[in-house]
Amino acid sequence: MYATEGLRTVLGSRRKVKAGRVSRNVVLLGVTSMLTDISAEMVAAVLPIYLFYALGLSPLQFGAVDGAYQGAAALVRVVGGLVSDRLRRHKEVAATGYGISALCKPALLLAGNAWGVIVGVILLDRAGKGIRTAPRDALISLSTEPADLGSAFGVHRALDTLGAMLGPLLAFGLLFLTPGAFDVIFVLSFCIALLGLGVLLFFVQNPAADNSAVPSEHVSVRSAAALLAAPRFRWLVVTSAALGLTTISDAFVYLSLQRRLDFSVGFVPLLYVGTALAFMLLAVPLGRLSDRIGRLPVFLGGYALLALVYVSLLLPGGGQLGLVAYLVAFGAYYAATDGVLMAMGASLVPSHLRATGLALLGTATGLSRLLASVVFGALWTLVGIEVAVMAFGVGLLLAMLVGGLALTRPRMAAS
Amino acid sequence: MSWNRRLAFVAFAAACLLVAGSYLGWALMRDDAGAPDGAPATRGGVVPTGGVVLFQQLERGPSYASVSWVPAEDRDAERIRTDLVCERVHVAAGRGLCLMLNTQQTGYVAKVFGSDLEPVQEVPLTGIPSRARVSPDGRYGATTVFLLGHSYAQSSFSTRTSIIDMATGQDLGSLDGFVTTGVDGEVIDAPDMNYWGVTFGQDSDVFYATMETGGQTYLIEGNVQTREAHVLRDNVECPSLSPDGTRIAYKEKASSGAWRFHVLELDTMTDLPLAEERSIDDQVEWLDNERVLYGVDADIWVVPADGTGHPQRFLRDALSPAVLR
Repeated sequence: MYATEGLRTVLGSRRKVKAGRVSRNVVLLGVTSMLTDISAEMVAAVLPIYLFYALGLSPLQFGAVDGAYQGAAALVRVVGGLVSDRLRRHKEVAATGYGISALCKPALLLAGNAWGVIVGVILLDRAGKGIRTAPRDALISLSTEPADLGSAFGVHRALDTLGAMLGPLLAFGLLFLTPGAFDVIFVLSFCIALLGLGVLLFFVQNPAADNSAVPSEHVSVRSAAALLAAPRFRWLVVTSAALGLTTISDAFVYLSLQRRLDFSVGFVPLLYVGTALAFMLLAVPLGRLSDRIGRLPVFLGGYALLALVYVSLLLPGGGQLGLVAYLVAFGAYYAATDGVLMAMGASLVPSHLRATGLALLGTATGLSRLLASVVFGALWTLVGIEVAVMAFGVGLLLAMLVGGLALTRPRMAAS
Repeated sequence: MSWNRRLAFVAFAAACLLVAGSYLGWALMRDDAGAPDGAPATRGGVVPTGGVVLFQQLERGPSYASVSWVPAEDRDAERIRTDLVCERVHVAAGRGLCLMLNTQQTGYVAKVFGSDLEPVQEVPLTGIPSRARVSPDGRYGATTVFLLGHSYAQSSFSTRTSIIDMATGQDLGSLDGFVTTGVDGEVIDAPDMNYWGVTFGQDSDVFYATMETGGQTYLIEGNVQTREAHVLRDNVECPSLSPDGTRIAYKEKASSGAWRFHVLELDTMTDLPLAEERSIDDQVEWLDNERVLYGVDADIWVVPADGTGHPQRFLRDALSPAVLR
């Protein structure tokens, strides 16, 4: 603690540090993520049309890929975390992940219409994302004062989301300039991904290993499992997984919105854009707020907004204003929970296991959300959408209550 | 932060941007890469009102993927080619439906055209073209597309089937908005419901289509005016009503997962398999009341509709047949 206080004084004396104190490393990682997301989303936006129109592949074929990689990516994430903790080279492991995904862009072009190769490249691209996520989040947290974690993750998520919004715009802009020239999109996507990788490699630094350094042999599958023995962290993972289990996926929220308000399904992509815009704009203020008033209240407040979205899915009426309110609430829910969860996790995991711990937290949340979307679909079919939403709403409130109580239990950290 | 490092990054970034910029510049200068070779195709005048088979012609060359036709009874005759390029095409009673890329090639549109093949209306599509059908009287059209992206976990793909008013080009909405009832009259509502493969009756308000939910496909009969549909039986995909309106040709999924073409007698609801034994993913088109056409790889085949005979190649290098009677 003494050492980091000293560091802040040094930095503070060297230049004016803005409120929120987000380090250079974090901003640079945000820029890397932004460029990578532009690169990834510009390809994702045109991939189905490319596969169908340019290569003549059946949509049935690429539908099959979609489900396959989701589970795989979650597991790769934990491995990426463990390896980067073990090597104590978060930057290099993250760079490997970014590099793999970057190389996949020209590989897609070179694969031609060899279906097996295309599936392989898409899986590899997802694996790259799985590998880089945990070490990147670890880098963000290790480059940040514990008191500023919420702001740091907020800045990162805002930049990340900005990239996800710019990608499709850029892709469609390029297609407008050069109709049908899908190769331009893949090549430019590759260049942009390389730029992102360059920012990481040239400028981001592994935080200096603290001198208390635990020998790297202490990083193993067993020590990762031991993380879950610490009550506070275990409860955070359990709470986040329980909340994930009661989260209705965006696709279902938009689908029921589309049916309730009866607008063209062509507008559904705009709902994603609206949500992302709110997420981007609110990520920093809500992250900062979580540093000020406490992360748990903001985190649970985010889920309370989600509960509000559920309630309004059950109420009649709506209209244009209702739709905007939805998107703002939904974006705010993401802004209050996504980065803040990692900030909470980071403050509970020792630095030598940071990437592993954050990977466990992220994977537990992600897998439980995946399960939730299967369960929600089945419930909708069996008992109708109202009952399904109500069941998820009740579950969500219960998870909030139990998680809130467990995580505020006094002196649990001491045990 | 050393200056060397900054300089190295600037050089690296400049190299990336240079590659990106020159590639884009080269792409802007090269000849219209997306357009089919630019050779002037014959428009082919006006589509005859009857006695021809219209199709997507797939012989390599400047008119690749363009709409062409031959006389139904003289299919070896020279193909009349047009410069209308469609992924899926169907025509009836002087009105046609062409599912094609939009001008920017960022997505697909359905174009309604008249017998002069000049598109008059345009309806945006929300996915990748799968099926197109026009009702026998030319009043309605139906499109099926595969939806893109953001699919939720439990369903590997989803489709969207919409009805189009062919006179005005108005989108009459998706079958998702129809009230569909099961065999016992219960309303079916599930998030995984998918509709595809419409075929219209002589009274074009009446249509048949496939509805899928819970991994099972059903044959539904619907009405465009009342916006209602009901299930007739299960395991029917891509129905196609015979010109006399008595039978439905469709594909049935065997327990092995392979498709097999069958014909269903609507009066008795009995069905028999056709002589075509390959597993084929297409919505058949009736050549007349005795024979059906369908695409395999890049050829159109024909087989008798009563289970006898053998499949024969009907047209080489062609898909998406539409018979004008």
